[in-house]
Amino acid sequence: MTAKNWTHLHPQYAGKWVALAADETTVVGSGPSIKIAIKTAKKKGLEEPILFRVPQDMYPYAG
Amino acid sequence: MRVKTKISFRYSQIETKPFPSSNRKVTLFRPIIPITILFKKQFVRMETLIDSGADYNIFHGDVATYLGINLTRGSKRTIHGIAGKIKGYEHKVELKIDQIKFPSRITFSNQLPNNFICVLGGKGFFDHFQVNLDYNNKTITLS
Repeated sequence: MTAKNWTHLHPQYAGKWVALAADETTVVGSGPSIKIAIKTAKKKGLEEPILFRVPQDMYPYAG
Repeated sequence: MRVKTKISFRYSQIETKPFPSSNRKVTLFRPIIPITILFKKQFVRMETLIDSGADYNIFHGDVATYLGINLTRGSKRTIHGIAGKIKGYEHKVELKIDQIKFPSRITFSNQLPNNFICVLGGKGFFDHFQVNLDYNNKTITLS
């Protein structure tokens, strides 16, 4: 199975909420809050986008 | 509760730097899956990291705000991690993964660091699924 390619999300959307289309890759909205990201996605006709908060810094991670 | 069907997801491919001033990019893959969080009549679909090292489901406080949850009315939780500890509040929600809906709990916090990704942990996720993380084939299977 091929991984979802998210290499375009950072640094362009660093620290922002992005609204993704059903393919989980295409950005259809973004903003500083969930509400704004969803609003911009709805303007493009997508009622139920998938939200993701892009990390401010993209470094190797351990929770 | 254990589910009887198998659901498959793809890993997410990201690029990182090994350290801040480096010009080198390192490609990594993370087990991030789409879920829906439901609270009363509100819902939001979100990409969330499967984290077998997390004891709870932990999400940004922004998500609680969007869902209309009064953050500080939840049960207080202190979460310890690699970079210290944070305070959060646990709330009852429903989660939907693919077509499977189940009651769960999320600890929301406004003290999470900027690079934090919302995580699915032990209580409220791993206690509902058998999780297979196949890094080499970039496949996540829940059953």
